[in-house]
Amino acid sequence: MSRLRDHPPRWTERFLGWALPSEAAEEIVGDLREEWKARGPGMVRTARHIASISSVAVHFLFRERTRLGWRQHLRLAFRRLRREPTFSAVATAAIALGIGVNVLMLGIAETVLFAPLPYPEEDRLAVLTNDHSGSSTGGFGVAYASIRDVREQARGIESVALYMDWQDVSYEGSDGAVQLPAAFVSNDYVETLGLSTSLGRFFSEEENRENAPGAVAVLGQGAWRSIFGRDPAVIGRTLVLNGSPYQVIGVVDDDRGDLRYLWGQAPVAIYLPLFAVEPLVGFDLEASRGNRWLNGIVRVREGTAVESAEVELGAISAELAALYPRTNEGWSYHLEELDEAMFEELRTPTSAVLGISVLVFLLVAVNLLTLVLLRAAGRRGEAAVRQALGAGRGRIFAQLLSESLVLALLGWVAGAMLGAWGLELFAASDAVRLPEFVVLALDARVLMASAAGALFLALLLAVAPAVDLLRSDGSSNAALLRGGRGSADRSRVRVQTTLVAAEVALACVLLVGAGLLLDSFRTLHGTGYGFDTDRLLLAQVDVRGEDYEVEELVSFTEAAVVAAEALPGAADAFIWSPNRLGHGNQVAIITQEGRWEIAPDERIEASLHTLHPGTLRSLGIRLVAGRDVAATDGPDDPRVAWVSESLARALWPGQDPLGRRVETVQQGQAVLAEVVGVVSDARHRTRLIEPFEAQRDIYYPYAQEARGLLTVAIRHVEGADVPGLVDGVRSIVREMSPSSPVYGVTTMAEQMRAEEGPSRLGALLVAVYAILAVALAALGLYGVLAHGVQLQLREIGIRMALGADRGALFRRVVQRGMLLTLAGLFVGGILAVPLARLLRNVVYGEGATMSLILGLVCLTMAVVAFASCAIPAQRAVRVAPSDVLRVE
Amino acid sequence: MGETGRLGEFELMVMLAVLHRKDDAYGVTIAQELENRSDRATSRGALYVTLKRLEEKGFLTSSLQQPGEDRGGRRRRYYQPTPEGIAAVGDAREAMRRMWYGLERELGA
Repeated sequence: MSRLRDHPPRWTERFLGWALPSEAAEEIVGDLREEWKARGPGMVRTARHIASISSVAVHFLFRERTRLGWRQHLRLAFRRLRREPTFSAVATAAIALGIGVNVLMLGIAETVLFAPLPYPEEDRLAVLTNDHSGSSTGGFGVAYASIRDVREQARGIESVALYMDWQDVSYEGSDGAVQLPAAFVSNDYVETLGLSTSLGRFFSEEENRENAPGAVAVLGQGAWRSIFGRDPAVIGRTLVLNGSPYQVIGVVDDDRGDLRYLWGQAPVAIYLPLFAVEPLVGFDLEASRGNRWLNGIVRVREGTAVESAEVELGAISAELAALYPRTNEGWSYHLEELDEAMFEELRTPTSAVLGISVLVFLLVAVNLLTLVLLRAAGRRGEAAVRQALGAGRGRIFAQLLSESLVLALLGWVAGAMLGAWGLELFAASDAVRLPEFVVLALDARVLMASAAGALFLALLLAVAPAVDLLRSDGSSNAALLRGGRGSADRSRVRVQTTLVAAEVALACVLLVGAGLLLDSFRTLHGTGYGFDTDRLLLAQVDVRGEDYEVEELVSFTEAAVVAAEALPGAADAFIWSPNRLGHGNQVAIITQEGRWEIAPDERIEASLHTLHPGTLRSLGIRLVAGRDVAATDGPDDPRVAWVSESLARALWPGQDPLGRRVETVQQGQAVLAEVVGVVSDARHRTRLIEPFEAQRDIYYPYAQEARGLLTVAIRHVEGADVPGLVDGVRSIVREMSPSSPVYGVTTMAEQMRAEEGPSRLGALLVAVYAILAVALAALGLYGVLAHGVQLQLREIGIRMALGADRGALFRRVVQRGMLLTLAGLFVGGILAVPLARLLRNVVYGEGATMSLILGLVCLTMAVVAFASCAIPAQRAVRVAPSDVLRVE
Repeated sequence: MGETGRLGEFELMVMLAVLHRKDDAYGVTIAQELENRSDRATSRGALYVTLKRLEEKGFLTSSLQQPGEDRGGRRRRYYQPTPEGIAAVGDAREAMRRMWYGLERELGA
C-alpha cells in the first residue's frame, strides 16, 4: 500500500503518455508525479491528480483541434476524402445503408409498436367478444340482450359501445340506388370512442331505442363530401334508405371513430341508431341471446385493469349461462385491449424484422471497421511521418474524426433519404393493411435516433484507426522505415481476419433468417386449402332471422344454388355452412361410439361442415372411400357423416373407418352418426394457423345439421363480371328472404392475399437485407484479401522471380480467404440456431427445413467468398516480379 | 495566436511567474508561483498549453535538464524568458499603466 502512494496510478501516466506529444509527455508526467506528494492524503490526492490529468489531456487535444478552425478541418477532410473516392464512396454507401435500414425499421416500429390510437384515453378501450368452450377460435360477436345485463352488473366497465358495420343499406339518390356502408351504433358508441359531429348532432337516447319516434341518420365525413358535396343544407334532409325515410341530423367531424375505415376498408357512409337494424335489416335485437351479431367496444372505468374487468365478465357469463343454458351455456366474454387487437398481427413480424435490421446495422459497423482498418494500414506510414514531424496524437485523431464525421454526415443524409423512400414504398404497398390513422413518415424522433446511429458509426470510424495508428511509438519508427508497408504486425492481421470472419458469420445468420422467412412465405404461398380456390366468389348470408324449419332451410339453400348457377358468368355454385370458407369457427367435439362418457380425454375437436349433394365435387375435395352425399340423407334418415383422412387416423388409427360411428352430444343428447365416407384433408380453418397440424374435419349432410349461417359460393368462368355476380347474389337473397343480410362479399383470392400480407412484407424486406448482407461480407473479404496481396507483393514478386508456381500462389491466397469464410460460417451456423428458435413464432414451416437452409446458405456464401478471393488471387499471380522489385 | 507580440492576461501571469522563479522555473514551481501570488487554483492543462504557446511566440525558451527526485526518471523542462518576452511583458505593463492612469480615485487605489 505504501509503495502505491509514492506515485500516481500507473494508468493515469500511461494515458497521458498516449494523449500528449512525446516531448511534452515527459515533462508533464514528471511534473505531475513530483506534485503527487504535495497533494494531501488518500482520495483527495487521487481526485486532484485525476483533475489535473483530465485538464491537461483536454487542453492538449483541444488545442490541437482548435488550432485549425472546424471549417478548415472539414475542408481538409473533404479534400482528403476526394483523393480516395473508392473508400469514400464505399464507406458512405455502407453508412447510408445502415442508417437507411435503421430509419425504415424505426419508422415502422414507432408507429406499429408504439403509436397511440386516436381516441381519448385509448388505454381504457377494449374489444369485447364472445368465446365458446367448444371452439378453439374465439372472437364471436355479442348479443344485445346479454349486453344489457353486462351494462347493469359490471362495475369495472364504464360503457359498452355496440355496433354492427357489416350491413350496407341502399340509398335512393337522384341518380339511382347506391349501397352505402352503414354502421348501426349504440348511444354508448359515441361516448366510448369520443366522437363528435362537425355539423348537427348525434342521436339522442330517445332516438336510439326500440320503436323510436323519428328515423334519423348521421353522415360520415367522407360520404358528406363525396355524395352531398359538403352541402351544409343536408341537415334536415330526408334520405330514403332501404325504402324508408331517414332524416339527416348530423355529420361526423372525421372518420377516426370508424373502426372499419381505420383498417382500410370502405369508410362508413352513414351512421344509424342501433335499433334501426330492426326496420332496415330485419334483425330483432332482443329476440334471442343466441344472436351474437354485434361488435362490442368496452371502456373500462378509470383505475380498472382490463384483466380485472374480464374477470368480472367471467362471473356474469357464468350467471347468464345458469339462467339461459340454451343460449349461453359454454359462452364467455373476452376482452382484448383495442390497441392489441388492432396491431397484434403486425407486431410479431415487425419485431422479427426489427431484430434483423439490428443485425444489418451491426454488419454495416463491422464492415466499416474492416474498411477503415485496411485504410489505416495503408496510412500508417503517413501517420508516422506526420508524428515524426511533430503532429500530436490529438491532431491525428482530430483529422480522423473530421473525416469520419464528414462521411457519417453524408451517409446519414443519404440514409435518411433512403429510409424515407423505403417508408413511402412501405406505406404505398398494399402488402400490409395499416390502420388509417397510422401515418408513416419520418419524424424528429426517428431522425434523432438515426443521427445517434450515424454518430456511433463516425466514432467507430475515427477511434478504431486512431488506436491502430497511435498504438505505440516503437512501431511508428518501424513504419517510417518501411514506408508503412510490409509491417506484418500479426495482431493487426488477426484483428482484420477476425472482423472478416465476423462479417461472414453475421451474413450467415442473416441469410439463415432470410431463408427461414422466405421458406415460410413460399410454404404459405404454395399451401393450398386442399380445395379448389380458383375463381371463387363468396358471399355470406344470414337467414337465422327467418326462423326457418329444417325443410325450409334445405329448400332455401337448394333454390339459392339453382338461382346462383343461373347467373350469367357462374359456372357452378354451392352452399357452405356453417363456417365461412377457409375460416372454421364452428367445431364438433366427437369420440368413437361409446367412448364419450367413459373416456372424456379421447374427445377430439373437429371443424364442422355440411354438405349438399355435389358440394364435394364443386369444392374439389376428393372422396377417398365410401359414398357421396345423396338426396336420401334427409333430416329423418339415419344420421351419417364423412371424416377427413386425418380425423379418421385420429379416431381409428390403422382401421377402416367406414361403417363405424362417431358420437357427439347435442343439447344434452348423445348423437351417433355412421361414417359413410372418407375425404381428402383440407385446410378449412385458415392456412396460416395450422397448415401442418392434422386437418380434422367432420362433414354432415346439410339436411341433418342445417343452420342459418350460409356462404353462397360461386365459381365463375374466366372473365366473368364479378360485380354483376355480387349484385345477382344480393338480388336472389332479397327476393327469397328480404330481411336476411348479405355481407362479407369477397373473392377467395382476395381473402388469401389479405392473409398473406404481413408475411409477404417481412419476407420481402428480409430478402433485401440478406442480399445486402452477402454483398457486405463479400466486400469485406475482398478488401482484406486484396490488401493482403498488396502487402505481400514484394514477397510474391521474389517468389515468382525464383520460379514459384503460379497455381500454388493462387491457391495460397484463395485458401486463406476460404479458411476465413469457413470459420465465419461455423460461428454463424452456431448463432443461427437460437435465431431460428426466435423466428419460430413468425414462421410457418417445420424445423426440418433448417438444415437444408443452412446448407444452402453455406454453399452461397462459399461461392461468393470464392469469387471475392479469386480476384485478388488472380491479381497476385499476374504480378510481374520485375515491377514489384523495381518499385521496392 | 500567430499574431503580434501581445500577451493575453493568463500569458502575462505565466510570464511573470517565470520571471519570479529566475533559474528555477519549470511546471511545478511556475504553478506554485501562480497559485501563491494570485491565490487561486491554476488549471494544469491551461498552464502547459500556455507555456507551449509562449514558446511558439518566442517569448520563452526551454531546455530539458537532469531528472529531479520523485519524477520516475523523467527530466524537468526549465523555462527562460527571451529578450522578446521581457519586452512584451514591459509593453503589457506600459499598456496597463496607461489604462490605469486617471482611475486611481475611482478605484480607491
